[in-house]
Amino acid sequence: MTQAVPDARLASALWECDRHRAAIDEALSEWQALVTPSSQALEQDSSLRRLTDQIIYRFTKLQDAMGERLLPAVLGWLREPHEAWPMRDRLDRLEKLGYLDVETWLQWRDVRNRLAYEYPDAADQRYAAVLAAMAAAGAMVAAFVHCKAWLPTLP
Amino acid sequence: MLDRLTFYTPCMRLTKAELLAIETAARAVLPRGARVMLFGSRTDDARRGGDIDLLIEPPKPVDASLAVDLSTRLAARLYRLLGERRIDIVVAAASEADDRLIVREARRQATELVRT
Repeated sequence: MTQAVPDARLASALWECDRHRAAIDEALSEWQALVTPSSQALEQDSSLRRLTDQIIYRFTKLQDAMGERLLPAVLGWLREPHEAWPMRDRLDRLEKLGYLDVETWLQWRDVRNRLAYEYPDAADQRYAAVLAAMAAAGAMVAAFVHCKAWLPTLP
Repeated sequence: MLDRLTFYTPCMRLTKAELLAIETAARAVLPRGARVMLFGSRTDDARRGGDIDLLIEPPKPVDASLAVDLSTRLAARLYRLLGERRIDIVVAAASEADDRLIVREARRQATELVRT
């Protein structure tokens, strides 16, 4: 395979991740401009819920785009024989190469999974999980920007 | 081969690898004096597979934000040791009454796995 294919895969993955990054940046700026909303406000204010839903949705999409497209594309671009590797080995290799921190990546996985099974009688826990997702979305954007900075300019 | 065996204690279904991972992860990320207990389907010998449901009892009360942080760090360490799988972690301090349905049910079924 010529380098053109890994280059194209990487460029395409970066483009997709960048779209989610831009959407998260915009929504997080809006969120951060608010006085920290209370748990009660989050339960009752539909516009606030829409904003948090937007951040969580893009956080999920960026996580998918990075995990399923960008990280394999980076490994391919680096000519690492990653195709048959399980996700854990891919992450370990990328950590060794300085592209990401595996423990942090796995924490983002849990933040996402947690949002799927919160309990109805635990409003403060639900709110804490949303705040954790906001923080994770910001951190994931920073990690994406860091990862992108390691890569050369692509055509 | 040993890691593939399922160890049956009274009302508990976890592999040796899962037990070791839970102990290792708990000692790495939880405060001293915390208890980790198993509840849910893995306490039922008649069932197969299922999520790993863990109740964490820190020695002192923790707010919701710290509870989420502890859960996330424990789950991430378990994902690293076992691979990603469904792990549901509930945090409730031993010294506090907690009327959440899930906590009441977890406490009723709980089998202690680790004390840090």
